[in-house]
This record gives sequence, structure tokens and C-alpha cells, in this order.
Amino acid sequence: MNYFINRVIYLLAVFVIAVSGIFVLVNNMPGDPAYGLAVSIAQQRNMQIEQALEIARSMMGIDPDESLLTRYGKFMSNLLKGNLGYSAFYNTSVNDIISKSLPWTIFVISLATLLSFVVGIFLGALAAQKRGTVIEWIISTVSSIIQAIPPFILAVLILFVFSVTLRLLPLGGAYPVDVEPSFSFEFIYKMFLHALGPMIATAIPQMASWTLAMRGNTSQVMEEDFIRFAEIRGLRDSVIAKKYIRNNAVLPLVASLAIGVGYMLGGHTLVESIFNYPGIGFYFGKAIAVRDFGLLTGLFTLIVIGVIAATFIADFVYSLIDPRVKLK
Amino acid sequence: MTKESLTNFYHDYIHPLFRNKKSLIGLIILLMYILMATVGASVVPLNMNSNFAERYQKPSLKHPFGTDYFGVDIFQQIVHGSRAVISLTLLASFLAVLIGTIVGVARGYLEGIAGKIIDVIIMVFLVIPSFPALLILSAIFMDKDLNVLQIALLVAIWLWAPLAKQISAQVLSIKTRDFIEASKILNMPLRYILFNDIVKLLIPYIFINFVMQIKGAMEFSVGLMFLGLAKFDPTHWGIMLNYALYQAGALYTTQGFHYLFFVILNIVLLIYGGILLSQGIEEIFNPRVRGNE
Amino acid sequence: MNSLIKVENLRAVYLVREGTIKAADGISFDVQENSVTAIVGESASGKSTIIEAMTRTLPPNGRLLEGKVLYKGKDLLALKKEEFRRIKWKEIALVPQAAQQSLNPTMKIIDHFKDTIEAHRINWSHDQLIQKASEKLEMVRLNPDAVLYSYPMQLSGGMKQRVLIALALLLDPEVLILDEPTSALDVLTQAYIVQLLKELKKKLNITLIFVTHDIAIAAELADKVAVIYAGNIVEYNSVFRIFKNPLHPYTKGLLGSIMAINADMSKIKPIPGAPPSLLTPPSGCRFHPRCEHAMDICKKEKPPLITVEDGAQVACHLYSQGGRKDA
Repeated sequence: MNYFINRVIYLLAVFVIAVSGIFVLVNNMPGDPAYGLAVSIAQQRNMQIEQALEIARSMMGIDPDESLLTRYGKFMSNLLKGNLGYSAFYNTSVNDIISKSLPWTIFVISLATLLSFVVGIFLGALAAQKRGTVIEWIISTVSSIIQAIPPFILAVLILFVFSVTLRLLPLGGAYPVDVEPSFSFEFIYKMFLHALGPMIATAIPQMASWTLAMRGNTSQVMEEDFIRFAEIRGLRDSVIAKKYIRNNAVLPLVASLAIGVGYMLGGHTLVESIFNYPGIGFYFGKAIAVRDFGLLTGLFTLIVIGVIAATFIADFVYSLIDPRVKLK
Repeated sequence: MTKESLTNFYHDYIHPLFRNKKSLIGLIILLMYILMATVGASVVPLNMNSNFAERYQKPSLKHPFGTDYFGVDIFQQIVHGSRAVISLTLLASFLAVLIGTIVGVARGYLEGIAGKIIDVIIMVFLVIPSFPALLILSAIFMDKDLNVLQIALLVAIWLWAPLAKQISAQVLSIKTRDFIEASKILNMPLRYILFNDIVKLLIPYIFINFVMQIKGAMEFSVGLMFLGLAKFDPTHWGIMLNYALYQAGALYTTQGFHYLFFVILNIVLLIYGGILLSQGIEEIFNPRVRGNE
Repeated sequence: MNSLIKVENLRAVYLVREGTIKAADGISFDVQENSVTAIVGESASGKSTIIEAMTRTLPPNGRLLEGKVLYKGKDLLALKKEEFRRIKWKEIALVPQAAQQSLNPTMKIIDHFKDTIEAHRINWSHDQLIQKASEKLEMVRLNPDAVLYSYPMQLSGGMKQRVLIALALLLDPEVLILDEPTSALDVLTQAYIVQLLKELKKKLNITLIFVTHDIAIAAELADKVAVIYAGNIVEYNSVFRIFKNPLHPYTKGLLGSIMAINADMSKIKPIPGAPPSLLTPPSGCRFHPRCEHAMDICKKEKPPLITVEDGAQVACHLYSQGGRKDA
């Protein structure tokens, strides 16, 4: 129980410091947070930009003479209420944007994680058990090469090859413009099609690291005494491979699974931007481009919450499944 | 250093690198690029003048990698860009390892509140998504002309944390091992305990990490240039990538594919060299990972 | 009494970077039904190698060069993998050395039992399994209720060792082979295990073979003792006669170097020299460099294992001339 409380305090401290740091960072970016809104107001109402700026500021509740500290205070108190801020560019609350975009990101990330984990574990175990053969060499080398490709370059290549050249996949968006969102088969099919690009771009690098990690773990487990004892007892190779080798090798990887998800939230920015896929990462990129401080800070905070939560869950789940930790 | 300790050092640490297949190939690749950056950039001329007549030429004897949108030879740009890439990447990796090691060892040594505080700091940097944070950080400095060291530092800030965490864990576990207790009992000074015992054990570990940082540093620095968020040498491969996709529209025509291809090829090859080298080093110092002997 | 197992000329090596370790150099011996045979030797004498070769559990860098292990008329080493897998454990069970790591950390003890019967296609119902497993656990003086549903890390070293023995006895094998059953344990647990094995020897109709470096354990448990030195059997005799009247100079040296609480310290003599490297073993009789009775022939020819009076077997040139020489 003590450990639990300690952990919570620790994570809370990390959260507060991280978010505060982000707040300071973002607010030091050059540019006026009200600028984006001011431009559209100036155009709409045909007025000078200075006037528009004043209106924009009052609309957003920004006082240019406000000190950073006051703004910080407002932000934190909003945070406590669950309000992640306001987006100047989109003229709506950050929470609103999140509710529109988060489902898409989760959709892609969960599929990508599932795919990369399952296939990666399988390939990694295969590579370890077929040590020294051509199969192992192929798996290891291909995985290493994939790791050498920066993920955003991979995304660009996928876009280029599949969308531009082969015209297999759509060029962007979560679903085509001409189809109404519904539960029709056509819509769901198109939805998956559109998600395929970002999903593969996210899954492939992950798969490579799962494969290599699993290969390492499996090799280590295979040397253990209890494998030998299982052979001595006359257990069949297939049984040993599954219950004795695979189960023990996967265990530590499950912990990193949750943490990996946390990281994917952050790295997904470029992938979504490249595919024009309207998830969290896409809006993140947009926010940087248009200097939407509110949206930026809000999304950042969301991701930080996600990573911390993932870490926490990872610890918890791991303690449930590893008998060695469970009984401490 | 005596001659004998030098030969021992060579035998223990350098020679195995040549015997292991992976580390050898990785080393060759990296040395090739370092050569390209040092010698090559001085030897190969750079003609950045636009020559629209020759634009988008396929690879030929005259232009080994072809020409880009402006008719400028791609091979020349790659060679000259390697200088910027190598210096930035190696510097960033070095800084990341330096900061990570110092913080990690310091954490391992400090107990109580000070230790917990460092823990929190490390965790903060682990929790904030690195690449987006790097983008913000560089946007802040976007209008200023930054030199290599400053950009390397910006990148290194988001790379040091995982290493610090691992090193602190290692130091904490080594601290409780018997022979260090023995050092204390024998009343040897703290400095001795610090350097000789712990650092000796960590050296292969740190070296592997340094080489692996090449991957992270490359990804971050190329990504940064690619997004146009840092003013830097225009032949840097990341900037070339930016031109290829955003200015020249290589994405939407198949004509410019070779442009994209060669830039990506070199980026990937360099990182792959680093990966191979680190895999090789790991095999050497952790025999269980080795394949058939 | 029939010999249940006949080992003939077993030769096995280990491949290492520096060369080959000639660990088992022509081992031959018989094991009688229902007897307890101890294989005694120092560390790295090759005693574990014999067991590994016999049970086909040599490590990846081990190679069987030649030899036969005849069991009920069949050569175990020549059987196909599948055939041998069916005999393994059901008739010949091996309890390996490192008890600490021999159990799967993510499986409960009952599951280990379950796996074992499934591997041999035995169709016990769940209740039957629990009953049989409990029976064997009680035989090794463990409490089934406490142990069956535990994970390995919840058990002590001695308990794990006993679980291994219980698992070995599960299918009522004819032969039980134990590799250093007491080595990794503290002295009290050692005594406990020895007691246990004595009980098992009395209760069950089982043939026991065990390997140990502790000659005292051999004295307590064994009927016959094979003394191993540098990959060769140097003496094979009944336990009584080995202690009363050791034949081989090495055996004599071994006994002479044992300390007993009431021993006369002046009479204790360690054997001079050190055990040889098995990478480049000495020529001829491998003991000759340390033997005070070494003759010329000892350097040139390896003494064969011959039978002298009363079924005692010894490999030493002192005895090969037919008559017994007084040492």
C-alpha cells in the first residue's frame, strides 16, 4: 500500500513538472497566440489587423499584459476542472478537438500495436529457435534494416509507393469526402482502407523492435535449466516451445507493451501529418504550424497524461501476470 | 600509459571489433561516411548553381546520383552534406551520452531526497514526447542562426533520459555488490570507488549506447531539418529531403524518385552502420547473444 | 541377479574453443537390478558426462564418440529419438544437478506433473493426477496441499530438489539417476535428502544410480561404488570393500584425505599434484603423474579395467600381471 501511494505521488510530481515545463516552453514560442484568429476576423470583417487582434484577444480571454504566471495559474486551475484549454485557430475548446480526433488515433494505434506485437513475437521466437539458419538471418537482417529507416521516412515511402504510384490507398483523410459516416459496409471498408497507410507506417518499425527483442529473450530462455529438465522429462518439442520458452520470453515484453503505446502517441505526429489523417498528431502538427498555443499545450498535456497512465498500467499489469512479482 | 597497457587495451577492446562480422561491417560503413565528410568534402567539388537544362537527370557517369530539381548534382550534395550530418549526429550522440552518464552515475550515488529528485527529472524527460518537444524547442530558436553545437544540444536534450535511467539502475545494483563494499572497508577514497570499479563495468555499456544514439540523433536531426525548423547547411540530407518533398514535389511525380531515393539510401545506410556496430559490440560483450560459434 | 544396465565403452568429448575435452574415455560398467550404484569423483572428473551420455542429455557442444548403453536388451544410444522419448522418464528418470532453476517459473508445481503425464500420453483424470502427485510428494516428505499449487519461487532449495525427485518417481520408473543430489544444499538438508533416498531405496523396487563428489554420501547409500578419475573408472567394487580395502592408488589417496571428526590428523594425506586438464590428458594411465607407484608402463599404456578377486574391478597396472601386488 505504501508503495502504491509513493508511486502516485511520484507520478503526480512528474506530471506537474512536465506540464509546467511544456507550458513555459510553448509560451516562449515566437508568435502571437491570437494571430490566427485575428487574421480570419480581419478578413471576415474587413478591418485592420490591429483591431482584429484586440477583438481576437478579448474573444479568447487573453490579456497581453498578463504575466506568464497568471496565465499559468489559469491554465492549471482549468486543468483541475478537466478543461485542457482553448484552440484559437479552430475557435473551439481543446476538449472538443480531442473528442473528434482521439478516436481516430486510438483506432490506428491499437490496430498497429496488436499487429506489430503478435507478428513480432512470432517472428522473434522463430528466429531464436531457428538460430544459424537462413530464416533467422533474413528475419534479423530485415528487422535491423527496418530499424535503420526513420519512421517518418517510412511513412513518406509508403505514401509514395502505395498511394501515389500504385494508387492502392487513398491520399489522406480518415474517410473519403463523398461518403457519409455511417455503419454501412461501404463506410467501414473505406475507413479501414484510409487507416491502412498510417497503420502500416506505425506498425512496421514497432514490429522490427518486438522481433529483435523477442529473439533476444527467447535465446536467453532457451539456455535455462528448466528447458533442459523439460526435455529430460520427455516433453515434446512443441509443448516446450510454447509453454516453457515462449511464455517465459514474452513476459518482460508485455511490460514494455504499454510503454510502447505511450511513446507511439508522441511519435505519431509526423505519420498522421504525412497521411493527413485527422488524429491527435495531425492537430498537433497543425497547432505548431499556426502557433495555436492553447491547442498545443492542451494536446501536449493529453499525451503526457497518456504516457504516465500507460506506465502506471504497465507496472500494474506486469505485477499481475508475472508470478515472481505477484507474490512479493 | 605504458606500452603494455596500450596493447592490452587494443587486444581487449579494439581487436574483437574487427573479428566480429557485424561490428566490422558497421565500422566500415561509419568510417566510409566519416571519410566522406572529412576527405570527400574537400575533394569533391560543389557546384550549387542551378542548371535547369540538366534537371532531374537519371544517374549516369557524369552525375552518379543524378541531378535534382534545379539541375544540381546530387552526389556532390550528398558528399558535402555528409559533413554537416556526421558532425551534427556525432556531436549530438556524444552530448546525449555525456549528460546521460553524468546524471545516471550521479543518481546512482545519491540516496534519499536528492536521488528521488533526479528520478523525477529523468522521468519528466521520458514522459514528454521527445520529437514534438524538440519541434517546439527549435521553433523557439527558429529565427536565429544556430551553430552545430547548439543544434546538437537541442537534440541531445531529448535523447539523454533513457540512458540516464539505465545507468542509474546499473550503478544502484553495482553499488550493493560485494567488492565495492570491500573497497570501502579497505578505506579507499571515494574517487577510487567511483572511477575504477563502476566505470570499468559500464564502459562497454556506454559505448553500445553511444552507437545506438546515432540512430536517435539521426532521426531527430534529419526530422528537424526535414520540417524546415532549423536553419542549417543546405546540403544537410534532411534539408535535401525537405526540398525533395516540399519544394520540388518529388512525391507527386515519378521523375524525381532517384532524388528521394539516394538521399534516403544514405540516411538509412548511415544509421544501419551504427545499428550493426552496436549489435556487434553487444555480441562481443554478451556472449549469449552470439549465434553459432 | 541380472544386470539391468550394461554400459560398454562409452566415449564422449566436449568441443571448446581451445580444443576437445576428453571427458569420458572408455567407460564400461554394469548396474544390477535394485541396486544402488554411486559414481564418485572430483569436480571435472567426467562423472556428470557419463550420466549425460547415458541419458542422451549432452549439452550442445558435447559429442558421443562411441559406446553402448544396453537396457533390457536395447541399446539406448542407438534408438530413434521418438522411441527414446517414450522410454525416457517412464523407465529411466534423471534428476539433474541444478534444482534451483529446473522448474518453470511461470508454472505451478501441479502443472509440471500434468505436463509430464501428458507427454507420455497417460490418461489420468484430474483427480487421479492429484492423487498420484500427492502420493509422490508425500514420499519425499513434502506436504501436497502446500506445494502442489505453489510456484517454484515460493519453495526453498531443498523443497525444489524434492519436487524434482517426486516428478522423477511419478511414472514409477525402473531406474532413477541422480546427478549430485545433495551438492547445492546446506548440510542439514543434505542429511535429510540422504535419509529420504535411503527410505526410497527400501520402499521401492527401484534401481538407483547417483553421481557425487562426496564419498561419504556414497558410503551411506550405495551398494557398489565406481570411482572416476580423469574420465576413467579406476575402481568398481562393493561399497564395503572399497572402504575396507581400496585397490587403486587414487582410491587409497581419496580415502586417506578424508577428514573425520575422530580421525588422527597426522594420518591425513592429500594427494600430491592437481587433477589433470582433460584437454591434454596425460599419456597412458591418467593418474601416473601423481601416483607414488608409477611404473614405466603406466606412462605408455592405459590400464584396462580388469576383474580381480571377488568381482572387484580395478584399472591399474599394479594388478594387471594377474597376481595382486602389495602396495
